[in-house]
Amino acid sequence: MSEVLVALAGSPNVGKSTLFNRITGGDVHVANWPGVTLQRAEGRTEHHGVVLRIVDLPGTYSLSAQDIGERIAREFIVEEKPDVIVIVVDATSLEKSLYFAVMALELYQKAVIALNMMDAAEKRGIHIDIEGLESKLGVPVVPVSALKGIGLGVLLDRILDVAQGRMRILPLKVDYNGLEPFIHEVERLLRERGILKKYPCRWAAVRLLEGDEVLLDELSKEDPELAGKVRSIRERARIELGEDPERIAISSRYSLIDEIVSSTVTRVRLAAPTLTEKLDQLMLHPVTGPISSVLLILFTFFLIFAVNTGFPLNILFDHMGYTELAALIEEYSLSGILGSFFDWLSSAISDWLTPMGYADWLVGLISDGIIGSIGTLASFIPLLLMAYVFLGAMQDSGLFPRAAVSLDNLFRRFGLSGRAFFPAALGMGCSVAAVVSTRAMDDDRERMVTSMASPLIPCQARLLVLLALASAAFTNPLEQSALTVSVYLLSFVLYLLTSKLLNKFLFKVEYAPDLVMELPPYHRPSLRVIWWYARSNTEHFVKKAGLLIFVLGVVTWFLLNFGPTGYLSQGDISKSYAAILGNLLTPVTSLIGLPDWKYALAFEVGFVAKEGLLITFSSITGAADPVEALRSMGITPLKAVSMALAMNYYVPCLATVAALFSELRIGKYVLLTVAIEIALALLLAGTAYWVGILMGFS
Amino acid sequence: MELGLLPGEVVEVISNSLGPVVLRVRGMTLALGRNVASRVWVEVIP
Repeated sequence: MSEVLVALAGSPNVGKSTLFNRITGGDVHVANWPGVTLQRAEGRTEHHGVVLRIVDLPGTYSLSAQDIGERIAREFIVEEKPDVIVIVVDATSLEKSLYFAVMALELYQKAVIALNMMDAAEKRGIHIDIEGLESKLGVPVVPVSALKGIGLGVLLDRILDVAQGRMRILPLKVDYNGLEPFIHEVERLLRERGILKKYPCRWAAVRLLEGDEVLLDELSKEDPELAGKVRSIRERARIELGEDPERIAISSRYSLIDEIVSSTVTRVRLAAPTLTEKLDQLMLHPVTGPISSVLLILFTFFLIFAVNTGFPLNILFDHMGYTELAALIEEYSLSGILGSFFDWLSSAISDWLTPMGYADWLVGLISDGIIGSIGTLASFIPLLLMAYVFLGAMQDSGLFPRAAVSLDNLFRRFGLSGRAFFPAALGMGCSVAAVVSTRAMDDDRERMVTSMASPLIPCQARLLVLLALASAAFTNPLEQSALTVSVYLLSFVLYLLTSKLLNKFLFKVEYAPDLVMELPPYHRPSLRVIWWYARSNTEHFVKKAGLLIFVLGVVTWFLLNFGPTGYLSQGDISKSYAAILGNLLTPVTSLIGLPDWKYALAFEVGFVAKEGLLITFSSITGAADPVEALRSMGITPLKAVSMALAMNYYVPCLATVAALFSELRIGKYVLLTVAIEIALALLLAGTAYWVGILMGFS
Repeated sequence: MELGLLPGEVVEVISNSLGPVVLRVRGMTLALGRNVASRVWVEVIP
């Protein structure tokens, strides 16, 4: 079967990813572009017996190779020479998204324009003359709605038409006015020497005059003398025209776009002030903006927590006297359902294997070690999925980008931009998600700093441990929530302070990267887009960190169930290797007022996943309820505070360390992150404990 | 510049308070940090 290579290109926020997912229908292979942490998605589909291999290029505003995304997109087009590029433009704002289209068409003519969001444009009273647009641009234009799946068949037809040469394509020519004579001069030089042949000649000439660094470098390497000539022509153009050639070139493209838009687009005015304006007045106001942003985040997490763990509804109902209802909510929360499923599976397998005469340790390994580790991995999936679903909705609706703008002022003081708000918010769901999300940042330093600092924000697993500690040591609900809230507040302060210190001492930069961010129009989030977002991010995590979590889970099981005397069939954990290791660690935990080896052991287990702390307390004491378990170990309010602080910071969990490693790719920085956390845990928990002792608590 | 902030372009300021300046230009809403924004020269038109 014949194969066609299709590249999908366009600016950010034009629905390119949605279209990509629509066409490929989930048959997608995700990797990174060589040498960078930008995601490269490739998918396939079949149409009329032809296989279309579709590569999603990074979303960029232009192709001038000024950042990594632009350079990758341009290199791909020039080097791989795809059979067709599909240029996605946004019908609701052609003025903006046509700039990329013009840039792309100057570079490569085997193209089809996908005019996306056509349905939304019509709803807003925007009418577009498709044939007019086709004749102006010289390539087929197909109106589509990626969201609703309209027009995709026609789009695929046109792609094949262009790929197989059944379509007449006219080159797009931008009139560069005063720059034209200089363009001809450079073109002639390039032709004479036969240089930069992989680019269209006119395009290369324009780009060289605009001062394209990548292209100039390439030219200098091939022919230094010619590079010098081109530079002097550029200088001459600047002097003769009295203006920067780059500015003339950009203006010329925009005036072509203005002409195209004015002749092909008709607008019917919508009278009432739109919702966007009203919401913007609220979200971008200096006072109400930050407040509503914070409320929005709190509301989002209230929803996530409630679905995943039943918190805070279970506690609320409990205090109102509806104990049964509270238990019901907890039992039917996602983690409750998954937990009881794996408990059931584990005991079912054990019951099935034991009578068959297998050794005890083997039964234990399979039913407990292996199934348990899969259970740990599985318990992450709903946490991540829910965090991504709700945050994806906030992001897609356009609310979160506004929140980033209104919080920018606060973040600047710590050498970060408002973008640093995303990992902090995601971190409350799951630190892994937070670390992975930093790849969307433009500024490399900010990306590294935030991924190193974001594990400080308490995730959902740590929330569970925190709640158990609070309810075991304090009886008054006011004191319980005071402990919980202060740990959260402290964590945010630490996130900001750590970022500032990392900026100052590790990267030696103190100014914050400037925010340049497009705010997409508000719209109702689409379930399909959110689902794609959540699914692909969760899959990414399972693939990257899944094996590591599984292996270390089984190793931990061995440490807990084997000792110098062999397999500990009675579950006598105090004789295990883990307990011996715990004993070795007690000098350290004594520093923070927890001299018992049981705490040290719990910290070891908690490295795999923080909720492992609670599981350890239960299995050591034999009390199923972790709150009961903690009480039977004689926890005091002071110990609970020390434990809460230590537990939150002592080390990012295993999955987070794996994610950090795959994002940072510098082992030294991962170790530094872990070292910072250990130091913080000892410092904070130690200080809290010894100050408490001095004040007469025990 | 390639985002469409060109000489002669009409820009509507949506918000200009403590944080970044928010502009509407060519049908797109754009947030600019104050550093970048201070390098954009404008004149007021009624």
